[in-house]
Amino acid sequence: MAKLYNLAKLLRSKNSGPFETTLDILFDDPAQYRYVVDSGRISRKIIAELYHIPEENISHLVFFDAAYGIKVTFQRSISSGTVGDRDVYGAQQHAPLMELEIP
Amino acid sequence: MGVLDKDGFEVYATNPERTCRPISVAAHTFYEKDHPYLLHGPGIVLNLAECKFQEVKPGRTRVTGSRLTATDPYCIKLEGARCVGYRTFVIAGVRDPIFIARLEECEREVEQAARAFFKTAGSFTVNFYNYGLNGVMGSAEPHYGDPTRTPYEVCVLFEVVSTTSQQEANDICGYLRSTLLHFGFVGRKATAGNLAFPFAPSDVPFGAVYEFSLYHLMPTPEPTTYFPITWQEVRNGKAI
Repeated sequence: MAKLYNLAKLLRSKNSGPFETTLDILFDDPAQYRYVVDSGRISRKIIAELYHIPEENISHLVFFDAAYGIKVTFQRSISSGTVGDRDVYGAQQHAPLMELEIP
Repeated sequence: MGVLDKDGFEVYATNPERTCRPISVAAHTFYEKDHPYLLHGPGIVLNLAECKFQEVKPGRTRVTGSRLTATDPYCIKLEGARCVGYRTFVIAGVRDPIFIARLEECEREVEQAARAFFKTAGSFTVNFYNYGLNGVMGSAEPHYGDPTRTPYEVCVLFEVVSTTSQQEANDICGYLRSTLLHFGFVGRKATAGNLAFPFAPSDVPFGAVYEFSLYHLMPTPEPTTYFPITWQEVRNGKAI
């Protein structure tokens, strides 16, 4: 059992426009990428649980084999910079994903 | 440095201590985009689905297979923001373990007291951000409520946003600050004050607050329709 941040080369969050958060998981080792994809642990259901959001708020979950990268994009509950937003650039929203266990 | 040719492009770092590897280039296609290989721009979609990222020599990466498709109609993006009010905030530290255990319930009660006291004021928003508990992630914080992770100190940031005026935000925030500072919660032992202020004065009037109000794609007949360019040639201070 490994945590996702032990397997990924790059793992981050950021805004993709003011109304969305996007999560990037990139690998430099094709085998590690395939291992994580095949684990089935990166799914809409698991992301929704991790981020306490309904699955329908996830607009994209894409495995991009050519770049050994996974991207997940979901709607923000509060748009960037609006009163009550806690992370204007969305740059610190990756932590729950880092600790995801990959069997 | 990027080098374009008719079939693709190559990227390398000019600093010999840096390298440009396939993951660096791939990471750039992902950056701040909602989709990893469909990238939208004015009048176009860049499709990277068939891209190949190859390290042609150490630190030099070649990319081929990008496709550019025109969209119909040609759209431009409109973005706009509106003013929603005026903010005053306070930063304070909390170290008392009894207060930390009751912090959020005290914050709720203090907000209720402020709402009762300022019931004739205009509408306002109060937010508490408790750094050390769930300041960054809010309701999505996975460790929130975990009794094995009780913090020994918390940074409390609270704000008032008044839709009416900066003065009203200042007044309400001042009331919140003084009430929370001396709030007599159940089990309190330290009666001299609940908050450690790093600054004096403690309240920061922060000015107007904005939010996104417009974020749309607008079709346009021609790319330049809404961006007219006029030329005026001037010679010896005289328009020709």
